[in-house]
Amino acid sequence: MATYLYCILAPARAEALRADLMGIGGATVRSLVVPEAAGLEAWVATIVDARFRVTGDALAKLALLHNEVVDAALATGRTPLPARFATCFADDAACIADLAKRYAELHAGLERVANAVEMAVLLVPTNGSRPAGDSRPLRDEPSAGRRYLEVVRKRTRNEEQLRIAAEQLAARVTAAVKGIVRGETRVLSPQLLSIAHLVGRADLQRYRDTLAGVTPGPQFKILVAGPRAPYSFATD
Amino acid sequence: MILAARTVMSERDDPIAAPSKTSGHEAIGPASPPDIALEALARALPDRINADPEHVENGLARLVLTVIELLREILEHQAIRRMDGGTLSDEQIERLGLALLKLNERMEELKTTFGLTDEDLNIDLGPLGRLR
Amino acid sequence: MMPNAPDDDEMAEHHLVLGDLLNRVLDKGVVISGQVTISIADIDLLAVDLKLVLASVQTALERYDSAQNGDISLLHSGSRKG
Repeated sequence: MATYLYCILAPARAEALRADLMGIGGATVRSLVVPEAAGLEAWVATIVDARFRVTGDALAKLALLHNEVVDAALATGRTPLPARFATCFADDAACIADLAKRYAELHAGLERVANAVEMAVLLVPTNGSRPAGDSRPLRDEPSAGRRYLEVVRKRTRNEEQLRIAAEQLAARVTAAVKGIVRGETRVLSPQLLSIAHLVGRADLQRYRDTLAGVTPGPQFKILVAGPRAPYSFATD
Repeated sequence: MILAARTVMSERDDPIAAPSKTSGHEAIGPASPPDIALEALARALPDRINADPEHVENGLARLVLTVIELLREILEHQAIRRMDGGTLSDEQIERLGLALLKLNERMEELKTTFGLTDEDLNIDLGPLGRLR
Repeated sequence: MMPNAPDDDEMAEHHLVLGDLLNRVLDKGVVISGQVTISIADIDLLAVDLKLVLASVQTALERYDSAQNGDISLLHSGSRKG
């Protein structure tokens, strides 16, 4: 048995967490108030079996469940501070004690994300998610070794050039939304360059309109996703 | 999409082994190839390796092949840098290339033998590449 | 290259967006102490050890690079850090 923490919210006036919200393991989400921390609210659930050490699809499902709960918090109109996935405590008391200890940091975090949401701008290469089929030389051919290295080098160079182009496009995106967003982080993966923005709820339409005006060029397409809870801006 | 497995460890565990709490993802800039690949590898390591005797081979195979695949990539990257650096003779280049070609082929065989795809090994592939 | 059917493109995009979300969910968020202790079974120790080994491999590769030495032993972990 453990207390699983989904997210933290600023003290609410009369917001009621709906009684039937369920998360991981079908456990009902409850609200804990932390009196020593100026009434911070934590959304938690009692988890019977803390099975987080899984990979692949099983992990994806758990993470999606986690996000559903955090999303429900976002939907109340307040902006939650998402807790790190799989954050558990021995019990409610331990959770409350810990949150109280970290009040200053949490308060700063809540201020930072208040009335804002996270949006994602994904820069996706148009030439497909799989690298072009390798033309690996057969081992018996002359200079097979050198030619293999040349094939690898060509692929590596293509990757590098595409990365540079992605960074350039990302720079244009950043410049375009500069006055509108509160924060930005970037993550580069083999499939795409992902930019996360912290955007005030009131600025969302202006943000979207501005992004629509950024031309991606032939090498990339731009996907805009969100709003989400501010995972990427939960810590400094 | 390949998902990285995460290891959650309490503060009482060995600090060297604990995953860094602030991932370095925010900064985009030059990083040495081993750093990035090792970070990717650390994230790719499966949290639970099935200790069920019937399946233990497969779990360990996944782990070992994951490690070798990423190391293989690092080595290819290094080999090309050496080749471009002009410090290798033609014969050395050929030997190096052949060795890596054979390693590549061997890895494909092993993956087939264990019925494992790159997705199973939690290895991200894509046009933007992994090492930089 | 054959263009994908519109549905394929949409599904691919959905997949990418979902993947991006999951990467953020799994990697970000406020970190609070008191996380559950993962039971230290034999296999867990193996995974931990591997990370130390890899750190040693990284050091070995860096030394290799600067020494411009053509020989490298893949699985020599070198000196383990305590």
